[in-house]
Amino acid sequence: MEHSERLLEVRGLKKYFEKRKGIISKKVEYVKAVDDVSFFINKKETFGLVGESGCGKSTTGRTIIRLYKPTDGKILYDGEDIGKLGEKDLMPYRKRIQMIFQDPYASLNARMTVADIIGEPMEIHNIASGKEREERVTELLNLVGLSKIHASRYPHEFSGGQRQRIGIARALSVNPEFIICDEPISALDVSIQAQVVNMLEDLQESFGLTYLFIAHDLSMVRHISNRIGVMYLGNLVEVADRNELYDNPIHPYTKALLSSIPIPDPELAEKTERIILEGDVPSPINPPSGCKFRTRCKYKSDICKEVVPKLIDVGNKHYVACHLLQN
Amino acid sequence: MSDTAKIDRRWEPLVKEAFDSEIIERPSLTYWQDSWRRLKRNKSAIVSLVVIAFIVLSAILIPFFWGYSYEEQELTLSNIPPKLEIYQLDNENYVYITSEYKVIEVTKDGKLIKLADLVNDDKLGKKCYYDVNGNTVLIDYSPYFNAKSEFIKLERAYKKNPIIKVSDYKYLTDYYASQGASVETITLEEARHIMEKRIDRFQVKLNDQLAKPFRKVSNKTFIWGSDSLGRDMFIRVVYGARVSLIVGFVAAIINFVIGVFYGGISGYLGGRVDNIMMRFVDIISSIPMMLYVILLMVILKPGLQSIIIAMSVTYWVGMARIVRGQVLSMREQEFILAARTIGASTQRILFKHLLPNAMGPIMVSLTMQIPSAMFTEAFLSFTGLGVAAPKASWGSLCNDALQTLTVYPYQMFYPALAMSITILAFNIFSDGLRDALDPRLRK
Amino acid sequence: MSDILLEVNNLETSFFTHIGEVKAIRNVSFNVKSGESLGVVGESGSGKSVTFLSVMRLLQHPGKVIGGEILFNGEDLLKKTTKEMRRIRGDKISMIFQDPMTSLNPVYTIGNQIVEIIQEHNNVSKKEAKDRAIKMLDMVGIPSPESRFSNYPHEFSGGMRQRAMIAIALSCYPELLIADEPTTALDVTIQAQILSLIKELNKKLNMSTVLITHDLGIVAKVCTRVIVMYGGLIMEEGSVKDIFYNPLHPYTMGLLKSIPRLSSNKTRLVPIPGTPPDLLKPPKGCPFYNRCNFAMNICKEEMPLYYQRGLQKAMCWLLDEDAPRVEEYERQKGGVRSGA
Repeated sequence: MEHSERLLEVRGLKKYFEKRKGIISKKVEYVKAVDDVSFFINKKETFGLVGESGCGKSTTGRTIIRLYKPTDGKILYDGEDIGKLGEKDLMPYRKRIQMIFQDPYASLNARMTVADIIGEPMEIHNIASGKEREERVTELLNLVGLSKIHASRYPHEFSGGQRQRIGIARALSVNPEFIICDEPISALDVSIQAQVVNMLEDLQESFGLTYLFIAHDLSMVRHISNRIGVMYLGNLVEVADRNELYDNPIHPYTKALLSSIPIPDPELAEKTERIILEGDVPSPINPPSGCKFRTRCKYKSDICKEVVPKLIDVGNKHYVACHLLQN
Repeated sequence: MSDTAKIDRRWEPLVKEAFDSEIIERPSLTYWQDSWRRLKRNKSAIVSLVVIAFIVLSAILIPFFWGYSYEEQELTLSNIPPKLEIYQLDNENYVYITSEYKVIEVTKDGKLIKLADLVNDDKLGKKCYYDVNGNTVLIDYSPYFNAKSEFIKLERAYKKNPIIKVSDYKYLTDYYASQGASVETITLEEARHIMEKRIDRFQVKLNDQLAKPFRKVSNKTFIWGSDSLGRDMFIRVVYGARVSLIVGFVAAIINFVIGVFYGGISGYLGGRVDNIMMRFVDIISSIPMMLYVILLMVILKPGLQSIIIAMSVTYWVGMARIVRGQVLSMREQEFILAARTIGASTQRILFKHLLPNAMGPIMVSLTMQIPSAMFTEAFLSFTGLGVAAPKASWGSLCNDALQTLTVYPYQMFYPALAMSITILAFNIFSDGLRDALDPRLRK
Repeated sequence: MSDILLEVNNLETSFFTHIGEVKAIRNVSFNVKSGESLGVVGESGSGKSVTFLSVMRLLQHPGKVIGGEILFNGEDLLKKTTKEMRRIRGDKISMIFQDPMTSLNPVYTIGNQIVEIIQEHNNVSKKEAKDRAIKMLDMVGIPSPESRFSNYPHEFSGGMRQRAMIAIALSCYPELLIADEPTTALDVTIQAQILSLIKELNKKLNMSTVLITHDLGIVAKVCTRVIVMYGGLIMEEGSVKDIFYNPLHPYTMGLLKSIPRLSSNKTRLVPIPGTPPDLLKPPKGCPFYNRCNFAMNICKEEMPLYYQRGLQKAMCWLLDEDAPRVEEYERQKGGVRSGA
């Protein structure tokens, strides 16, 4: 029963980027951006993916929408593995899966009008043309709080928030069922972030959308997601329902991450003790053996160096990948 | 009610209109409109643009209504400068005397009529007699000729005895006598100076009367003078502009097409394909371009087509590099990823998304390639590898003028000036264009 | 009575772009007391960075200060020559920027860059300067500073680079440190490290810090006093606790409401509608009027005055004694609607 609700299931997803050393040298290094990640997303839910820059959360999203070809693993979308499909076979899925991007200044083609930007997916998928398309563009603009008067303008005339809404309208133009939101609010001002988040929530409500919400802002992720996965250096270290994760974090990295959220409350901020992690994230080219977090972990032991921890169900739909649980 | 007749509405809630806070105040401008606005503020670029437009229009239009064609020869009227010193014979007859002692009948305002009839060419007496409608014109170039031969003797004697006595040489004695001065000895430099600068090249006698130049007029027949074959310099420079501009524009357009395709494909596909394609470009550019062009020109027969082909084969690599760089830097930008997630084809991504966004740098490099192609053409024509006579280009005109540069400097001056102005205008304009299109200055 | 280190009066700065004059800062006055940690909050385009670039006299063309005075220890920085200003920058006032990679010169070692600053402003030998540079690197928490001294910026990670930037900024023990979004480019875990470093150094060296940020969480953690900017104007000023627990200005209230609270039940966010004004054509009245939930007719027409409430002040007509109270406003607004 529960299984049938799943819209997306990722099994053992790996994405390595080749990095050649010099022109002649045959030596190839691999950037292990995503290294064996498995999770699933149910229909109509929002799955949040958090982590620091370089943890592979964006690469995961881009591989799912097949901007990248996965190195290994399965991407089961509605039961079918789309990980190995060619561009032609992917076309029907390009309608069903859409993406919203991070940088509102780079994600819209500066030489196209707003009407052309929103209309392009409809043109490619032969959804509507002529007057009908025009009407649909107006409808979509209204949906994201803009109006017909904006249709003939160019992206650079809009503010960041408005541009991000145009990006949302573009994603909605093909009536998708699943939208990957790749840090959609991190480039926006605080007062605008809430507008976009509310809009995403409203759209989910009215169109029954499913979201994969990728972000590094933990408080926003908590607000919007039903379930959250925490990534570190290409691995998923903890997955749980949002309240379970925030109230009862188990992985040392999740704990540190949560405690470093700046709290917009001076008295509370004074009271809360921060766990300040030492050092930096290691390079994904030569990640540490075993548990990748061990170089910054307070509780590391010998086993962490040898064995890669697996995600273990600790009950309450809470999964953690840490050797501490075995002891 | 009367107490509160003046109701203070200031503190009442403001009624807002829908989209009030979404209205965009700034005018809607496309990228090109915006760039054009910026370009307009750059005065030197606009002046250059006007100059370029003027030159282009002249090159296209003037040959259609000009009285001469670039190949029309009038050998009797060769090497006539644009400024004429004319002599008056009577009320109707005026003549211009060339530096080769030819007498040319002209009108009062400087129109050339014809070469006057030579009656007697007294080579021994260093005199020429011409008949112009019944008037006799005598050109006596003996004083200068004699002075010069005396000076050669003087120079020879000077080596043995560095004292030059004025009384030993007739031309010096005559000169000082006419000045009313008594000088005994002078230096070699002074003697040369008197010979070169103080003695007229020739004397003109009209009906046995010594004549002085009547006035200086502009040459109305050949406004920029004529060349050694009596062809109109002006139309040849205009024709040269045609050749240079055709070469500049065609080479630039061919470079643009090849470069954009090659660079665009190389940049977008990336990886191994890019690597191979760019190594090919490296090989082409590792041989000096000019050497390439010259070798090709030797194989192909000289001419306009050959110059264009030779340049197209080699000059596109610069454009290809620029386009590739642009495409490569944009390939991972989110609007390209967005186009890919909606299923856009490679063709669409390249032509609707990547190239329009790379157009700024492409246009700048295009306008920079035009003057460089023109220069190359001028160089080739100058060295004799370019357009063949009787066709003219600025380079070949300069080459033609080189031998007689000291005598007829105007033959070099006009084509060189035209070339300098055009290339300067193109360079200033492309500079202004770069500033106008530079996205870093965009706000 | 704490003494005032920096006093800015009626500062006005504009950018003269090809489409017209953008009034980035319109009449801004504030002060920084010695030893305090001032937070400057605002969204992009609010003028928060431009204000302090004006103070540092580091504005690039086409930006220009067109009015006001900037008194640092009583002396007007706007009247200083370029040379005098160069002596003050890095020595008395230091600034660190958002992107540590572009702020460091990639062709010199970190140590060289610190030594250069120290020797520029102090008459010390190369040896002394080096010792002090190593001490600085140690102070900002860079492990094994002696060997790190001769590293190049690209050999440092993002967090380390920002630490190095701070070391450079502090190398002459400035009286004022201006940090412009120092942690925006960094990850949360690194951000926490840098913020506690800044806070610790502020206390240890007793220098004043100005923290320019858009993140209210950072302000709550580090600062003692806060300035809220919007549309090139200071909207509200007060102590951290006043601003967070008793905001006077609707913009401040809106900002606080629009950030998600860390509560377990899912509540809807309350965003501020609309977009910030275009400062090319700023509104005649309050810049916030078209996004404000409590806008009145006067707000559109007249620039509000500053109203003082203890140590807190705000620029809003709602604080005028003639203005309706918030509850009354809601009632009136309902009235207008039903009447229309």
